[in-house]
Amino acid sequence: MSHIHIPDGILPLWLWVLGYILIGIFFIIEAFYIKKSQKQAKFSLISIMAALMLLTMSIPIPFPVPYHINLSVLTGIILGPTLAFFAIFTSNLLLVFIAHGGITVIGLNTLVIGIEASLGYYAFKFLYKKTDKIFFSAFTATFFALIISTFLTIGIVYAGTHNFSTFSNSHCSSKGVHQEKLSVHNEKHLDNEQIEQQKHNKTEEKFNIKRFLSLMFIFGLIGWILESSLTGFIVSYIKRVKPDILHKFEKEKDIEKIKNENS
Amino acid sequence: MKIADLDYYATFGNTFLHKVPVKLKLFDIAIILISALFIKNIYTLGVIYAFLLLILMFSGIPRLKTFKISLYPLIFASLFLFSVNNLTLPTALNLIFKVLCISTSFAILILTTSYIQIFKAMSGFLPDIMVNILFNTYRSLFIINNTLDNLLTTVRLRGGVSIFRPVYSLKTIGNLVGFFVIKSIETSEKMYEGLKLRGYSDKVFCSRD
Repeated sequence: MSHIHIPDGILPLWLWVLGYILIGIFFIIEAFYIKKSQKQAKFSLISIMAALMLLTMSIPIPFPVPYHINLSVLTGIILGPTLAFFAIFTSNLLLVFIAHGGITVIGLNTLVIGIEASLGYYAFKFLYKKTDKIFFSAFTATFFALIISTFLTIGIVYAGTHNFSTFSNSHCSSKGVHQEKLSVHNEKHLDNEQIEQQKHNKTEEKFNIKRFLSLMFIFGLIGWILESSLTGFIVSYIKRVKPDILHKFEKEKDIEKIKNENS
Repeated sequence: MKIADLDYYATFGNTFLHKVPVKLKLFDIAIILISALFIKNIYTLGVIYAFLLLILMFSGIPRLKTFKISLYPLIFASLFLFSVNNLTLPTALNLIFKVLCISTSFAILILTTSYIQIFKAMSGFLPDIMVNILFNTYRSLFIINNTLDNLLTTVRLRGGVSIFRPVYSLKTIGNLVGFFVIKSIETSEKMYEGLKLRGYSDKVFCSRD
């Protein structure tokens, strides 16, 4: 539940353009690296993971609030911390093309969910190596990644909306009238100015970050538990049925075991 | 609405909007997007939205379905609006019109233009690697969608998932998705081998108009 669930037209131009620039630079570097290291065979896996992310969103979750899983951490675990960005960008782009909204925030969304996938990958790698408990590692890694990415989302939304009063035209005009009134008062009555200022503050439209935070946390907490549990069950199932998919983690775990035995 | 249904309407529809060149449609979308982002006057935004609704009414594409799709981003807009102190009606309308203008224009675009044509138009400015992934993802969606449908039917037939047994249900869904992931990865390997055998050289060429 760490998508930037903010519709188009709210975040300022500089912020979402910055998101596109950052993700563009990342893709240019990564594309060069893929060509150099002959990893083109991964294209079909990236595509499949993007398709999986989109399709699993339609799986009904037995919960009163409609919730969909996005499998970003699982994508990170399977594809690795950098290739996951491509799958995430693709699924975000396709979501826009099914009128999900948010074409301007694709860059930021990809950054946030990509960081979530990367963090999940590293947290899973670390925990699995240390504990050897697959469900626990996947659950904790997902939960941790989701918390961090939700804070990242809130930070981005705050950076873009703390100056929300400039959003509404009607409000701007009333603010202008208000400023005029205030300047007249400045000349005559200082006390009246303070009263006027208080009135203005009371009626000013402001984005309430605390309320947004609480809404995000109420819905987010449920989502984090559901997503983390599901990722845990999915990774456990993959480990039981086809452990080859997780071979890179198994290899590292074995190396760690040998090191421990030797020491 | 499922992506397969959207694709069906986009590919086999025969309205006047289907005949408009894709680049022109994308250009129109860009104009609507820029207008919605930068116009602050609610009357102008209202007129743009009314114009889009008029197009929807007379275009011949499924009106109610398109309208329903276009309302989806309002859920996120409401989450944002609830977080604003002293919210006034003009501000709320301003935001709602912005959201609806963009979502309605995209809904009309996807119901009248196939994804392949959109990706083809986008290949002009997107890097090869992204175009590759987009085409492959689109193809994969239909290939693995059947597997998911079959799996969901199986789960429903065997008792399905229930809100009264949350842990059991989550485990069932976890196993289902786990199986789905394994099947999909196997499919991706076969897909890549098939593509290589047919001369795929890590670049997709689109000739469909």
